[in-house]
Amino acid sequence: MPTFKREIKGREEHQREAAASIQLVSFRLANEEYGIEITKVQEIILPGDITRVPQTPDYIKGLINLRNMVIPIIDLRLRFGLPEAEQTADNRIMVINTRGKTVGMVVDAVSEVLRIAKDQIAPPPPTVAGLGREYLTGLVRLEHRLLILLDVDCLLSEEEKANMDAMEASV
Amino acid sequence: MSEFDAAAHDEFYKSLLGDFLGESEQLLVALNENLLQLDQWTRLPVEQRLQQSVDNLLRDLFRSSHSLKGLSNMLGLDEIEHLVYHIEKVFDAARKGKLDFDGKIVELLFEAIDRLSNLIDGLKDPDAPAVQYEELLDRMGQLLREAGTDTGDLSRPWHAEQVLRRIETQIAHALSGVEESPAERETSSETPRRNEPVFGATASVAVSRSDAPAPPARDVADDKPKVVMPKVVISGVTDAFDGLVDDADMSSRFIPIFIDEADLALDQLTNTLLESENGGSLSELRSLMVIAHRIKGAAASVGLTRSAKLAHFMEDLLQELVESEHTLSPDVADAMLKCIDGLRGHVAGLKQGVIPSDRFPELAAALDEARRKAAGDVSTPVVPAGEASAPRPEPSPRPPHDGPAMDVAEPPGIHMADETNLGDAAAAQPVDGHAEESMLVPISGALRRDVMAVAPIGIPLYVGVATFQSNLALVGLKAELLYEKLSNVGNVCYFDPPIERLDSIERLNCIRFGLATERPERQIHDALKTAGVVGSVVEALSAAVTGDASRIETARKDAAASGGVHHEANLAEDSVAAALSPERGAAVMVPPTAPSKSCSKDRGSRSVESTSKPTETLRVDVDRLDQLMNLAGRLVVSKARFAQISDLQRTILGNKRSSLALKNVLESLDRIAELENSGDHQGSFDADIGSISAQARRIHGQLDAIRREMESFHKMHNSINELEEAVQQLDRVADDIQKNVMETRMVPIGPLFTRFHRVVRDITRASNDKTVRLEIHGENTELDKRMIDELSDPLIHLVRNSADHGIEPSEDRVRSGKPAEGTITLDAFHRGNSVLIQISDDGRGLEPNRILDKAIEKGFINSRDAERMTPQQILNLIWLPGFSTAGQVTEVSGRGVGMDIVRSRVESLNGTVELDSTPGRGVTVTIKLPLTLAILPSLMVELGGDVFAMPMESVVEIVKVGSEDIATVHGKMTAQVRGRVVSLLHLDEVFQWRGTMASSDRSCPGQCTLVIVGDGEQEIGLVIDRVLGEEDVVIKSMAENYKNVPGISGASVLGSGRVSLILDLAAVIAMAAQPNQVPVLNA
Repeated sequence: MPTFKREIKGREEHQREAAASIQLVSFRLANEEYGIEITKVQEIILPGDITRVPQTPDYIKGLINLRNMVIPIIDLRLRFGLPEAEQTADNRIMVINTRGKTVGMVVDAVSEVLRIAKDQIAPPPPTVAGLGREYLTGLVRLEHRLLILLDVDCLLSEEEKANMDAMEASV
Repeated sequence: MSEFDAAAHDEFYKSLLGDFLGESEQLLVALNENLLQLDQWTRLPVEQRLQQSVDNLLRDLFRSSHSLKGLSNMLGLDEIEHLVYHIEKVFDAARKGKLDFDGKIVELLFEAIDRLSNLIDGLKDPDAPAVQYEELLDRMGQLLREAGTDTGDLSRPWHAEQVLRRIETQIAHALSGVEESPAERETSSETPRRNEPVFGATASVAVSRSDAPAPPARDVADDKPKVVMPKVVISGVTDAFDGLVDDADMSSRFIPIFIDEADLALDQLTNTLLESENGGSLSELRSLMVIAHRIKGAAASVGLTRSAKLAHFMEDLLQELVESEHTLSPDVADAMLKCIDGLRGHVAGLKQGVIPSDRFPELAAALDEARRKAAGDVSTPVVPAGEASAPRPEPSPRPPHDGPAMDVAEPPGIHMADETNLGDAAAAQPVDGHAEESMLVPISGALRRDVMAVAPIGIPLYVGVATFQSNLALVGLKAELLYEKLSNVGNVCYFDPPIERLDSIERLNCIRFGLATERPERQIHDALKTAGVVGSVVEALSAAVTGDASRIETARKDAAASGGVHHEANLAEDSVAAALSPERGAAVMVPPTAPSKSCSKDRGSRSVESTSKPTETLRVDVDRLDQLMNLAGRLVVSKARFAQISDLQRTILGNKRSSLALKNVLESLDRIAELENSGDHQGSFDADIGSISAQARRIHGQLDAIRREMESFHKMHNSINELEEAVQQLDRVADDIQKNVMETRMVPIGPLFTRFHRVVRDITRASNDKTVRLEIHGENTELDKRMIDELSDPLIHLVRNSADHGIEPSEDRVRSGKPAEGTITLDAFHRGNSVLIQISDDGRGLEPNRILDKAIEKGFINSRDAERMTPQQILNLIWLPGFSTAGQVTEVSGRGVGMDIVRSRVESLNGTVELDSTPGRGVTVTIKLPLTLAILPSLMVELGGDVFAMPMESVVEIVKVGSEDIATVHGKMTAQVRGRVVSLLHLDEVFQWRGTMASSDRSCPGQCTLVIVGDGEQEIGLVIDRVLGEEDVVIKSMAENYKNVPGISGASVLGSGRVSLILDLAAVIAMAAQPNQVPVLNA
């Protein structure tokens, strides 16, 4: 089955090429700048009417209707233990696709889309990436600033664990 | 990697696999059901066993397993094929009488079939654990060896050439069995003609099967040899159709099965054939073969044996090509395409509700011709030389009637054969009017009286007797069929034996019937022309009977001429009988099958008239239906939005006072103007007045412009009325669409119910001190497909509970005066907007004291609570997680997890479950489900700026209460509502909101609005701000993108685009009752 094998090979090559660099969407949260891999981001929308939901952690702002699909909205500031901020015109919801679920994240502002080389990524300092912060996967040093790399898959799976604990605690 | 494995990645292969799954599911159901019957049979005392019935069963079982084997072989599913091959062998041995069936073998086969369905399930789920079945293979092999069957080396049939050959012959045998089966089903005595070498070629088939040389390239690219299909030499192909006649008995409602399959398959066949016309790869040929096989199966399953035969020939030819690694020659492809056209024409005819005549024999001959040409080209003589030169009645490569279209005129010879084989009766005995008459049951005077007594007035009445061939198998079913056929002709007012008893009838000589119809008498005779009926007598009951012979004479003439004779039932019965006797001459003897050519035309017209047009069906992806459902949901949402907008506009523009006010202002201005003109004033005052009126005039002018605009507002107001009308229309259409889409997802619950025969049987087998019978009602009740899927587990729990704990051992039952056999009843029916499913047993019922003891022991309640509980509350304890009253955990149930799973499953479907029990009389569990999952009629309420949907199902009433009706009882707020005390609940008491500490003002200042909600037993008054109205909301699962939240059953999108939460009222009540503990009980 030669054709089939060739196909696989092609894909691998492609992956190797892509592996050298990644594309990020960067956003602002408090005074920090974060980056998420662009493949995880479905779209970026303006915050609208959010329906609050009881028995959920503080950082779950509620539910919105995204083209007839009901998705939860996470306030990333509260999720990271930062103080809640006044709503501004720059606020955006980043709609993320992760592990079959669609989730919205409120951020202060979305800055830009950029491509970085893999070797630009440095491991996060141990004091930051400590316990329960496995979702911080690295630091990217740009010209005048630092970009914190965020693994949303990891963040949201921890989110689930946290929910589970919260549920158990409340029951 | 073989080419076939490569194909596994193919889309086409996937769709084939889908078909395989569908088909295998049916086959498994059939296997299980037949095996159950067989199981029952083995338990009968020997003298009661009917050999014939078990033969039928075994044949069906064998056939099912054989089909399954064939299918799995073609898809290269080796494991499944291997296992089913063993199963088939066991049935084969049993069928040939080499194996005495007993309970142990049935048990083994049950196990094997379970394993088989596990394997098949494994195809759907790649993560499924591997299924171990080797041990079963050994046991079956052992069994077969003990039975002295030539098992060969069953354990490793994949490598030995010699075994392969054996399998080959086995299947050849099997296939010959399959081919004969349609005839067998009809006739207990085989038609002698079929065994005679009619044209000198049929006999050679058997020879060629055993003598066929091993296919040259069996171990093709694949290192695992496939079980090859037998080499049925297509010789004397036209003769093959002689013995075949489409099973006219097959009810037309099954024909759509074939139409559906055939339409699709024929298209695929054509496409694949056209693609591969220039040779064609091995995998393409395989695909073609699979499709042909599918057509064969579909046709055979609905009794279209002629179509099946043709498809069979096509399959064989393809098989041969695959085996010999030949390519598809243009000739063969041509012949195939012709066959496809023939089948297509046949299908088209069936769609019109006609069983059309076909020219399959010619097509088969052409196919054979093409095959032999192709074979000759590459000098692979598959047919022994002597045979190939066997004399043929139709030696021409292109039969003379190979016209461009389906000719109506068939070769007379074929038609003759067709007719003589119409029914087995013709073959079974000489068709001779006189010989037959002697065995026909005549119409008796008593019958006439009976029929007259029940006949409707004013419709021509016929009375008749149809006599069955003696010892006819399935005679009850045949009688039922006759009843159905007669019902198509007219109103069957009398039928003996009674239709409801037909099921159980094993022997029947004749049926007697009375029929009121306006249709010509000929149609009655046509209806009676059914295989198995050796003769019938029908006479018109002319009721204009006064004893006047001449009038009877005219009446009879009328009857003969138009078939319509008026009858008046108000005559004395005796005189009717007496007067009718001279009319017996009008009774017509109808031999069901006349071997005359004149009859053939008659038959043609019959098939046109009597077969009703079947409904066409279409296979649709469930995902697509879900999508459609979603769209229908969105339509409902936007419909709601429209309704909101038009309501809003009406309230905004509803004010008509403004135009009146405007008119008044204009009038007063006019008066000012008049004042100026009247002129009885003087001096400077004059000037002032003058300027004022000038102002007034200006104002007047301005206001006039406003007035004109107001008029256009008026027009707009009218157009809002129109808008409202349009919205209402949209509303209706949207509702209809929603309803129809919903209906497409509805499937009958029957198949789910019948699965429990097996469950009950297993339990009965496992315990040796009780027997349980399962009764099923309402199997035609329809439910949403997904609900049926979800219900399976809860129902199994309940049925097991009933069988295991409910039903007492036979001894105990007899002692307490009940029949030794316990009964579990499954029932489903519609009530209002819900579907109710009931599982009841006649066992010992639930003992309230035992439940209490258990609950106290497990610490769910304390003994003081126990004293205050109502019987229903006690019964409800059983739903608590971890609750089980069973003294010991048995193999099937008793782990105490069942009931709360049942409850949560049902609740996840927005349903409720109730339990009712009378000690000593049994338990009834009632599951109440909404008609559909997707749409929920709800009451929309507003509270603290949030909009909530409450399922109407749980809303009892909406009341306004004043502060004087509200009091606190031990710190809890309660309200007096028409004499009863209802505890009040503010949602904030149970819901913890983000960021707030749930301490908003909970008092009810002045008046407050309560929605009283209940889950049957308990009621609670929810305090709300405002009722918004009723709405059908489309349920969105929260867990789809987030997770489930206690107290919330889902979300829905409002007309405004906002999300609202749907309250899970049962959970809310439970949370309110026990804010900090297990949310099930109430105090």
